Formats: sequence, structure tokens, C-alpha cells
Amino acid sequence: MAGAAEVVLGFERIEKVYRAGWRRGVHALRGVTLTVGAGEAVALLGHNGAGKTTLMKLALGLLRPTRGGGRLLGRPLGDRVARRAVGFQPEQPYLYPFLSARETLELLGHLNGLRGAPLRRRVGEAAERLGLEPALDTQVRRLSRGWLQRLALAGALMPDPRLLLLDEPLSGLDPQARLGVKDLIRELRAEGRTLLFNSHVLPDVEQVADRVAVLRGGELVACGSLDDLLSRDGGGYELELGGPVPALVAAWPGAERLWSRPEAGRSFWRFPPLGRQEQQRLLGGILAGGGEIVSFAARREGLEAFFSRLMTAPRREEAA
Amino acid sequence: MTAILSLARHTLLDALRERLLHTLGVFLLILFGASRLLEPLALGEGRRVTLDLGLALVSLSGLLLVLFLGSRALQREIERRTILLLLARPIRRAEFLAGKYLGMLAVTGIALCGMLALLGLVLWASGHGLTAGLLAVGYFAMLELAILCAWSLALTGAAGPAAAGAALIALFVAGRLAPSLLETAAMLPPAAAALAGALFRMLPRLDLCAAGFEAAHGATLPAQAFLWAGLHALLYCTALLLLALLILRRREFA
Repeated sequence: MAGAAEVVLGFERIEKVYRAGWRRGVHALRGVTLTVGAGEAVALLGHNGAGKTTLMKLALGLLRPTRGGGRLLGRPLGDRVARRAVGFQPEQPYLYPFLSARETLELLGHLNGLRGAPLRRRVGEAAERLGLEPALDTQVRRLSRGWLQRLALAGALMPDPRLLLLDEPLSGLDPQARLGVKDLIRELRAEGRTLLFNSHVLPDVEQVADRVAVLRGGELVACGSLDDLLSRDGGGYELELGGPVPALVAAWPGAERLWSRPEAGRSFWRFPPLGRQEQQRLLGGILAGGGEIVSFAARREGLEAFFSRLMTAPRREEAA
Repeated sequence: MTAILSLARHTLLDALRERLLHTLGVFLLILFGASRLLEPLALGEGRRVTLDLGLALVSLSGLLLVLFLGSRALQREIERRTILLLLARPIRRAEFLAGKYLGMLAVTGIALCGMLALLGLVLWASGHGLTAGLLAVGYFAMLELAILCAWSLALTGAAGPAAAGAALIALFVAGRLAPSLLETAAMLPPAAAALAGALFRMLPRLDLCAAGFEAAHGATLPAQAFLWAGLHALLYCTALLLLALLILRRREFA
């Protein structure tokens, strides 16, 4: 969690085992500890069945933890009062086919205690944000998947939430609508709302999330800011040099020249991960040797590559 | 309260828009038509035949309606996962249940009024005249439907739609035969009699609600009959709804 922001949602060593009759239970979550601070956008990543949706349902009290616990807006997980300030968009747009889009939003507003003018105003605002106005009086059964997804998102906005739990908000949308939803997520963050969302569309996650939490087989295998995670493991550094190449650079263990343009006096180098002192020694040495540092930056791995590496790494028990 | 009324309205809208009542209306029209066809064979007992057939149809249709409504009110919400949308909102599970129950009562109430009006129309059109007893029929039938709705919610919360439906039909039959079953139990060996007696005492006393049939045929019912049946339905429904709530509160929605 960034800084000492108020914890809006926290899970503490939470475990969930699904049991069906006398059969051995299925471990959906194994000791997950995760906090989401106020104003953060945190993405939950993981394959299907990794426990992402289970985590959201535990927050809402739709499921009870087998062990462990947590807090939702300062109250126990699933607390009814806390849920007043939580918007939820389920994975599939589970909506009533016989209602119109407007009636759906009104029903959700009613369940949040809204009525009369405030309810109508909120319906109007939510519909406007999602561009739903043309479909407001259409029955849900006649709406396409993209419209349904928008309606489900508008439903999540009905309580004017402090925390939004969005289960796959970007799935089933055309590219234009996806852009719209990404913009919406950014807007919601800018308004100070907190978001926890699932997505399999990793490039989109990279654009909107502050932090990601990766679940694998119910275990939290990585959690942190994108900068930290993507430059942490084997990322190394990239250096663009102007002028002559100091001997220090060429002789640096693990340094690799990726390209050079002698006519322009430029070269581009890749370095293995460096500690703070090593960085200072390298950069100081270049400047002392008459070199010119055009750029020096941590080499970021793409989120897809990072995710794929995490998912294919041997699991703890397998490694043992 | 907003949430309860909103859920009740939602249940009513579901039934109306999914043409549940329309289908029932067509079904009833066909069957009332059949009663008109049977009348010439009734040898002067036309009024009795029409009334008995009509009342039996009202009762049967009410049961069918509760079976449909019960499966939609809870089971279909769970199957289609629309329940996630509702229970994620800041409502208590008790409010959810109360809303669904009130909605079911509203639908069955409207259907019952419609069926009795239709029966009255058939009687009037056949020249048999209207009977004030139909109002009593309405009262007792509504009590019976209220008990069946409560049973339906408790059963569909605990079992699948087929098992819940079968159990509801069994309860309907056993509830109508409750006094006979109690008498039969008394004839069993003492241990078995105690067990069967205890079991049968848990049955809904739908025989109390059958008093409406006598009223329709012109019998004057004492005020106690109305009072006891009402009190029994009230207490029985309260107990059943508490049971349904207990089941629903324990339930998880994966």
C-alpha cells in the first residue's frame, strides 16, 4: 500500500475452503494478506480459479472465510453498513431480463435507500457516465453484451461508492468501450475513490492500476506497485551514452551493448540489476571518464512477461 | 422498508412481465369452459358442479402459482446469480426474504382475486347468481396461499427446485388431510403414535382453510373459524419465515 493511506479494504491471512458434502474441500484462498489503501486502484491478477472473485465475495459477505478475516471500511468484512459505500460489478452482468436499464438502476438505488429526486438524479448521473442514456428504457433482455457490461458498471456507481469492486470490468467490451471504461477508472481514481478490480487484459491493467496483486492457486505470489514489480526481478538498467564509451562501462560485469551509432556518438547498454552504491559508482565513473549520460533508467519488464514468468515458476511446494 | 417494498414490487413485476399470470388466466379460461360443458350432465346440480369445479381449480391453480413463484423467488435468483447483485447491496437477508415473501403474496393475491372474479362471472353468466360466500373463500384461500408461500421459501432455500416442489405438493396434500392423519396416528402403537403425532402436528392445518368451501355453498361460519384460521396462518408463516431466514443466513453464494 502506498504511504500510510487509510486502509479501505484489508484481508488478514484469509483462507477459504469450498466444501461440497463429504468430499474433500477445495482451497480457493490460502492465507492471503492484502490491503487496499484509500484512493488506490489495485488490480487482482491470476488465472481462472485463482481466487480473485472469491476475495471480492468475501469482502461483500457473500462468502464467509474459513480462517482469517479482514476489514471493510473500518468494519468487519461483509458488514451491512460498510456495504453502503461499496459498489460491486459482478463478473457476468447478472441482471433481470424483464427490467429496463432504468428500472435496474432504480432497483439498485432503492436497495441503497435512495428514492425520489436523489434516486432519479443518481440514475441520470450513472447513465451519463457510462453513456447509457440511449438504452435506459430498453429491456435488459434486448441489450447487447457491451451494453449489459456498461449497465452493470453503472449499477456499481449507484451507491456513490468509496470503494468499487469490479470483477472483469473490461471483458466483453469493444475497443472503444474499453477505452471509455479505462477513462472511467482513471476518473474514479482522480475523484479519490478506491478500486479493486480483476482483469485478464494485462496491457489495460498496466495503464490503470497503481498496484497489482497476483494470485496463483489461492496464494498471493506477488503484490506491489507496477514500478516495483516490473523492475524488481531481473529487470536491470538501461543506459544511453553520448560521447566516448568509458572503459568502466565496457568492463562492467554483465554489461551488454545493445547498439551503437559511432557517427552520432551514441551507444545503448543494458546492465544487470544494480544496488544503489553500484549505480553511484557506475554513473560517477562515466561522468569522471568524460562520458555523457543521455538516459539511465530501470529496465521494466512488460506486465504480461512478468505475469507469465510468475505463473510458470515452480510453486513453493513443487520447488521444495 | 424501502428495500423490502422495492423487492416486493420487483417480484410482482417479474411475475407480470414474464406472463405468469397471463398463462394462468388462459389455463383457467379453458378449465372454466370445461365446467360449462359439464353442466348439462349435472342433472340440476349445475350450480354445485360449477362451484366445486371452480373452487378446486382455484385451489390447484394457487398451488401451481406458488410452485412457480417459489422457484423464481429464490432458486432462480441463485441459479442466475442475480442474488449476488441484491445481497451485495446494504440489505439484511431478512429484508430480502421479507421483500420476496410480500411480492409472492401480492402476486398470489392478485391471481386469487382474478380467479374468484372469473368464477363469480361464470356463476352469474350461467344464471346461478353470485354468492357472498366467495368473499370467505377468498379469505381462507389467501391464508392457505400465505402458508404455502412461506413453505416454498423455506424449501427452496434448502433444496433444489424439483425436491422443493415435490415437498410442497406433499405438504399441501398432508395439510389438507391433517386431522385424518392425526386420527390415524392415534391408532398406532404408543411409541409410533407419539412420533407420528408429533410429526403431523408440524403440518400446516390447511383443513382450517377449507372452511371457505362450506361458506361458498351457503354455510354460515362462526367468527372463531375466521379468527383461528387467521391466527394459525399468522403464527405458522412467522415460524416458517424464521426457518427460511435461518437457512438463508447460513447460505453462501459462490
